[in-house]
Amino acid sequence: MLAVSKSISRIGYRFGCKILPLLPKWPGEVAFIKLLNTQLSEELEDGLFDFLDEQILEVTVTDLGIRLRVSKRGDQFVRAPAGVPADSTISANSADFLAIASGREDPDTLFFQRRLSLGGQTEIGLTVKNRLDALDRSRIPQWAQRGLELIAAELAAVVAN
Amino acid sequence: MELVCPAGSLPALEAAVDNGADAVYIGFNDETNARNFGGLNFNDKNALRALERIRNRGRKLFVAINTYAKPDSFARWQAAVDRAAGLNADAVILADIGLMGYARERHPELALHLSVQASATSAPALEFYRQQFGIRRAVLPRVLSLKQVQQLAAASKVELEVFGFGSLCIMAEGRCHLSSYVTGESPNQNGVCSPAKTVEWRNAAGGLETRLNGVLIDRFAENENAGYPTLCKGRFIVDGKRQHALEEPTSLNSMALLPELKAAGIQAIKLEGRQRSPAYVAQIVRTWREAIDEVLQRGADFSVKDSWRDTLSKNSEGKQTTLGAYDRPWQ
Ligand code: SF4
Repeated sequence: MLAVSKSISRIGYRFGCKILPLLPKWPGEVAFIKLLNTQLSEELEDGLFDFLDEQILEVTVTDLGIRLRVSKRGDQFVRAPAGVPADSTISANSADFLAIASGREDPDTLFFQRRLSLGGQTEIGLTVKNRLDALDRSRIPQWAQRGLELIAAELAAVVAN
Repeated sequence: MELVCPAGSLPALEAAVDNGADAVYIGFNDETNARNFGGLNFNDKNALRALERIRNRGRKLFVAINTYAKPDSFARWQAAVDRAAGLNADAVILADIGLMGYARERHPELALHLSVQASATSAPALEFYRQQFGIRRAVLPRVLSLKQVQQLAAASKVELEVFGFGSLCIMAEGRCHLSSYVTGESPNQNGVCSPAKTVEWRNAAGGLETRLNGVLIDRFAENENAGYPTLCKGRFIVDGKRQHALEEPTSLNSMALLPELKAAGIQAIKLEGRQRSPAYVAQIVRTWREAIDEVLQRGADFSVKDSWRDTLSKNSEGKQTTLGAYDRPWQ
């Protein structure tokens, strides 16, 4: 597991840095939004993400040049229309996003250190952070959690070098 | 010494319990608590889950209802006390006198902790709250020096809880009007200092600018650390010099004082940060658990380990952690 995650993160990271910024649109956006809709269906039904209704949140992974633009309509996250400016923006590099996702680092800590930045309506960004923090992590399978942690640790090292 | 830890969500509560919290404090998701941020805190369903997890692990649950009730909506604060009593919480943390009276009368079995927001800094003040409302514990304001804490502890008939770690307010606990001056909302009334809806971060030529309700309060150069966007921590031109006129972004850290606090008879150490993520809660709770265990074992022989200091300063607002008001020599 360790060796696998090491090479995935190293090779994947180098490759991603080269290729992804050249693409006009991140090809994973559709798949990612689909994944959000299935993983967060309960929360969506409970109205926990209603604050994103007709709002555009833009998440930028700085080193990979990935830009994810998400909005919400009805009970679903949807891709935000192109050309419309975002209401709220969050950006950081991939290692830091993974560190947050895997529970290694606290977003406020990264924010103090200027590794995570917020723009536009701060309340949207803050609420997103709080909602994600409150998600029940036990729903993510153990192996996936562990993999996420390993890749996050490895990527932190790769980026630091 | 009890370690009292913050949780703004269920995963944070679990992180606190897993890493050695003796007690966890939470708030309901409205303005009855002083961390009233979008997406944070507990609705009834989650509060029940929190209680269940706390009971399974044999820890304590405190509910912070630590803002001041508004004249036209006192019922909401009363309802919050009723909900906490209904949960069978181990204590409620209150600041408002009217609410304390209500809790005493309606739920005589419910333990009351006096919030730091009530700003009781003298033995007679503590005694007043004890006689009137039967408070069991008081959280001491961070304005006090170690000597003052020791004197209070010697005189007090209630348990005392002292802040161990966390972002620092300007030391006007319960009395700060800066936030309402600029944004119209204050921690005591609305449960939030510098509400996010009034905050704007903007990258400009001179650096990262923070605005509060349109008022520029700080500008951070490329490699400067940022802090929470509160007026007290802004930089202003005073006497021709741009400086932190009121307070620098710093975090309080009283870990080095643990042996003295224990010797003084302080019953509990409180960690700040219900607005932070489970990752923060896990790291700081683990660190303080180890430190308190060490003090309990070694007494005065205790010293702060480098690894603890590193973890705390990494997670703190402002680059440095200081002893804050505990060692203000002018006190
Ligand atoms: S403005 Fe500063 S001192 Fe006043 S409540 Fe907010 S953080 Fe505390």
